[in-house]
Amino acid sequence: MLRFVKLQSFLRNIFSSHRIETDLDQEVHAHLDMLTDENLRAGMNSAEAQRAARIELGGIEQVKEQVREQRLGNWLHSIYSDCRFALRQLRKSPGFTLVTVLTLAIGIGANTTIFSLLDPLLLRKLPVQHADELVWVNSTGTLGPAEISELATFYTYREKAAVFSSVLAFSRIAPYTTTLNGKTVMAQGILVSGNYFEALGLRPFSGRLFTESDERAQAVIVLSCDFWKREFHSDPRTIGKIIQFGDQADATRTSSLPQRSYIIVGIAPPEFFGTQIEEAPDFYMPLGATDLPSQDYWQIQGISILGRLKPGTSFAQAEASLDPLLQESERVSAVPDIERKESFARTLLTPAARGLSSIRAKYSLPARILQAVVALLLLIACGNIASLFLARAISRRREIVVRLALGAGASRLVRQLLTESLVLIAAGTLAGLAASFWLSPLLLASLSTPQLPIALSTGLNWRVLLFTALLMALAVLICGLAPAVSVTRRELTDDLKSPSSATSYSSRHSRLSNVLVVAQVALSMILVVSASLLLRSLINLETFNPGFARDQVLLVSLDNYAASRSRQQVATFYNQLLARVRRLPGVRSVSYSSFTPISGKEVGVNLIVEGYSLKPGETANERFVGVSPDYFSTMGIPLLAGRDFTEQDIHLESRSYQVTDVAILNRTMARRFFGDSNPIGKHLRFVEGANNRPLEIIGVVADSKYNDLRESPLEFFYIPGTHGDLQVRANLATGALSSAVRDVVRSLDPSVAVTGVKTLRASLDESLRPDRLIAALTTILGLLALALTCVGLYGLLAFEVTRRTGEIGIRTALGARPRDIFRLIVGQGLRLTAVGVIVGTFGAVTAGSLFANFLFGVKDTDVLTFLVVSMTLCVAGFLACFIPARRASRVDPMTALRSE
Amino acid sequence: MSPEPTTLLQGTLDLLILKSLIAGELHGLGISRRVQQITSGTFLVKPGSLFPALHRMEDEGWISSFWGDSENNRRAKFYRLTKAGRKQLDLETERWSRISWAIAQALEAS
Repeated sequence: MLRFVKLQSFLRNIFSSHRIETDLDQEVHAHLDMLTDENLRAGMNSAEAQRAARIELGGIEQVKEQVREQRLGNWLHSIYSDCRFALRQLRKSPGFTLVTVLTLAIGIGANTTIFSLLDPLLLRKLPVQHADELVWVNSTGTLGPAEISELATFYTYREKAAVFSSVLAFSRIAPYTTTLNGKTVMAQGILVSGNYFEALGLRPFSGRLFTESDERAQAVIVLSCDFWKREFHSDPRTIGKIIQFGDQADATRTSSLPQRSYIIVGIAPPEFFGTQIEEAPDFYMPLGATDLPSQDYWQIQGISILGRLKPGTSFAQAEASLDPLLQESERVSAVPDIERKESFARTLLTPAARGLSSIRAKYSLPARILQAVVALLLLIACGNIASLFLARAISRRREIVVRLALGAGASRLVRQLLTESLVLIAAGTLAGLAASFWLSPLLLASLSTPQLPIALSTGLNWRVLLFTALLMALAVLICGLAPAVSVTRRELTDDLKSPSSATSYSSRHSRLSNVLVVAQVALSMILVVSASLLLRSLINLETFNPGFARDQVLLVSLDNYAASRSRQQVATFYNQLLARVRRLPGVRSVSYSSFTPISGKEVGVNLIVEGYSLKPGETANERFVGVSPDYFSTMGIPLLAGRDFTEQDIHLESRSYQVTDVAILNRTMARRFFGDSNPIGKHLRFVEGANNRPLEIIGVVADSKYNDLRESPLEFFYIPGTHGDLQVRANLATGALSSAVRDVVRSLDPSVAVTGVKTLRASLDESLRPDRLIAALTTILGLLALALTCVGLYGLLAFEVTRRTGEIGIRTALGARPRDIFRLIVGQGLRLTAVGVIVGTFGAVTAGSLFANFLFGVKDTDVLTFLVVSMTLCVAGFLACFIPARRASRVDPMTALRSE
Repeated sequence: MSPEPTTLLQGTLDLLILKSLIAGELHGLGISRRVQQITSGTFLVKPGSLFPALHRMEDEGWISSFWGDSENNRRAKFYRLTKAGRKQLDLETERWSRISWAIAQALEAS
């Protein structure tokens, strides 16, 4: 009961403070009057009575203040009045306020933006039960890790693996189109094992989720919460509705989901976005939906197997117990012996608490680089703000000293100064947070491509807010506390004696400011050097010769034409296609290949090479591609020896799957197997497959890049292919060419779809997306850092000039010329810059070594870059010094000395 | 004059104020004079100590206030004990007895 009363009092004190104040005032005055009355009755005259009453009371304001101090909720009140005081003070110096808020907004905004991307990519755990127990099950062998491609292996694990409390699997399917409410919509989903949701411990948002019995079901579907909100507008009657899917949009994959109707049985929980983090599936279907999947399907798509390790099991233990199961299941499958021994030798478990990601590896280092960069930027920003706060606190030293002398508590004053800092920093933080709310989606959009959409959930969540709050606390500590405490120290006499407030700037403060500026210059040096190296790296990547011509080549991808037609049909179609496209005006050369370079697709096969015996442990698993004649001339790959393929090299009438007897090697492969001798005329043979005929080597071509622009030289060979995507070399504009090609295809066979047209250059640029992103971002951040540092240096020197006005006046009076004063100030500034550059150089070398592997064509200790950046920083430093130095050189000695 | 109650335990001042209100309602000055009276002039409660104490005790809910007319027809703020206040008075009285007994014991021991 009493606690309730206290709460009432507390609230009353907060909300009716005005009434309470009036009340108190009246009460104290009434008391005074009664005291006066008492004294009058005792016989004093009016004046005496009043005086005696006042003495007994002890001062009206003092009494009121004493009541206030112990009042319930007083702390809140004083915080509130501190805030109002702070706001008043800040309004008086709008420039200072604006600069501080802006600087901090930049520092914190940059950090929050990067963190909101980094967190879902690298840090956040899946929103499932006991995410730490999840592991990703793969196989590995001499060729490195490979995804398991056998559904049977999954079943074996589920049945027999004792180390797992549950095993689940999922597989990607290509996007589907469907019609909803008259609108055509694309939906991308995944196939899941029946126990997928159960094993993850998820509850449906609505309806029900799959159970083990659903695994073979063919007509049920669970929607993701986002998809349901977007396309069904959160209609609660969606459960039980039927959704129809048509043919797959991307038909280059083997068709898997036949067209049929599916009943929506449930909605997945809202924060669940699948187990592959950058693919947020729109729907989930059971494995059975593929209608007894063929071997081909799983071989191409693969399945991802996740297992829940029983607590207490180590990875080594688990892997050892799973190996025999892997061997057993692969043995009964059709995987060739040699492939099994090499690719599927052992089980490999990797932690999957943070979900699987195909982009994590690629973006992990760039993301960390960016995080470090923005952290540095924040430090620089804090350095600026700390100096600003310090200078401001110092300029108020007199006021503070007087208040201290009058009896104000030092802690109260510190609290007041701190409140001012807090208000500013809070404003800056909010501004930064708002900016990042707007920037994060922008950044994500620039990362995402239609081919590789990235759907990270970067919205504002409590993790981002917590991170931001921590940054803010850090900023307050660095920038606010130190100046506040140092300035309220009780060394009063010096400051009261000296007439000019600026000379109360002790040498300790001076040193602190100098250190801050040097630190900022050093940090900027690190940032700008890193940015320059990354920029040069990007330029190299975009301009170097990758072994084929980047320009004037158009890539056209077609339906998987060969899937349902005879060899003869395919050959006729492609011959006609090439012939017609070749005849288009402006076209210089046409070809096709089963896939294009840097597309992310690759195929490898084991070979036996004539005259070359493998050493123990050595393998000959070589990458290859099937191409048409003219491929090399279309792509601009020089033929070094021998001849190109011709139409005669394809034997359609062959009864086995092998339709050719020839191959062309690239130089690296030729060198590996044949050294300097001529490989032409020698033979290769595929290891797998019955009735293998040897392939005669008829030519050698120059090396080029095959999977990644950064790769080191790979071994590669070519065989004549029967179908694939087109490459067209032409002088035409892309738009005109692409519609011309489409027309040709349509005229040949209207049922064939052109699934994509883009230039080779665009395709390569896409693969350089992370590089471009990181170069752009670090450049922007580097420039920001440079700007902040210049502002910091300028501020420091401006303050120095004010402080040393008297000294300058004396120097001038003693004969110094304006030029000498100018040089004096600039000298101070450049000295600080130079020290910063030297320290920064060491830092930049260290930092560079951390991402040296990421650089392309430029060393992390590139001398030219370091020199140019050092020069730039010195010039920037000079520019920052210019105005204060000029002001100093114009100081009139008479006014300077008089103001002392 | 003996030391003011504020140099003793805060509870002692509370005790005296509560006791002085047992007989009926009083305004601030009245409480001050009554304390002086019931302690035979030992304790003189200055407004600087009285007012904070009164407002604190009101926030705690032991006394309640209202505006009324004083003897000279002046407007003054009066205080009265609440039920909780009476309970607190008993509590404080009991505590004070315990303390004074303990100190007496301590002083008698050699």
